[in-house]
Amino acid sequence: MRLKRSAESPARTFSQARRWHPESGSVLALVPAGLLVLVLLGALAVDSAVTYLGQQQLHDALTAAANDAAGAAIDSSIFYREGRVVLDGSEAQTIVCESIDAQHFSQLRDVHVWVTVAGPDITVRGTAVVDGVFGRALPGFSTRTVSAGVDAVAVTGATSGAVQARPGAASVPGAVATTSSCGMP
Amino acid sequence: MIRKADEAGFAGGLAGLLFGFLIFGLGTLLVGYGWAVVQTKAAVVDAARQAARSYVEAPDAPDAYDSARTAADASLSARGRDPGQASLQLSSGAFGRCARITVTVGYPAPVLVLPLSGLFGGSTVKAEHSELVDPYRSGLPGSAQCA
Repeated sequence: MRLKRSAESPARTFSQARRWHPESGSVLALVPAGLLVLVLLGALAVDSAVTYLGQQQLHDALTAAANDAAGAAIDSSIFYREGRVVLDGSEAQTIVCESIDAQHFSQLRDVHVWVTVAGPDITVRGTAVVDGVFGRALPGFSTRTVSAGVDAVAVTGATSGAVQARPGAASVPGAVATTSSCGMP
Repeated sequence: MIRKADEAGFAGGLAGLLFGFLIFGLGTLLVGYGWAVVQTKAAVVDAARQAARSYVEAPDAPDAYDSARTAADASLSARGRDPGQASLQLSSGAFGRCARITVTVGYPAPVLVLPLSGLFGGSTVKAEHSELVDPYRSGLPGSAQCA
């Protein structure tokens, strides 16, 4: 009697174990899913780096454009008549748009730029669309919009450069801000 | 019978496991390659910007290209790249007052060795940057015609 009970015991225990742990073997399905999640996270990191790189490119382009405009868009007639440094709004817009167009972006598209000029101050803001590398395979993650802004001021004298960091444009009393924009596909 | 029933589906699970590791391996290679290309792109973008800035601020034309080359090399070295592999050329423009110049920097893209399919990549990552020589700067002959 005792021997018979001990002989039936393993089978009953195994049967009970199967009933109590129905998830036995589910790791075979979970491991591939977990690895796929890791790969997707890596792809997300690469796409985020591409977006950041695009934002840096846009910022560099806006900085160069603002620097070009602050140097080349000075209204010479006002300077020679009144001795003041004032930027010509329409000329600044033309120079900014030429500068942005000359950058030949490889990653950015739908670039839109807004130029605000007030006295010697120029503010250039821009937005652009960055295409994802891996994200284009997923609907909703194919593109991201980046934006950047640069404030610059035209100065005279022995300074190291024309562009200086400013919290905002239109800091000259009495200066009227003019805003214009340009864009390129 | 019990042992046969317990092993039912094992082949499917094992195939899933192998397929998962295959996806993980190839995905890691692709993600790593993408990351390396992005890092290279960031390096050449920064090098092009530094080179263009140095070019337009050079004292004269003969020093302009050398100054740009030095700046690009320093930028690439700071990002752990070999400046000897980089190419730098003046894409458009020439040194002069009001002149718009464009500098292009190229660097070989990292090569990914894929099993069974050989090399992947091997192209050149390029970046351009354009700047205007200050019309009112000193040290250059002529007058500012563009302003």
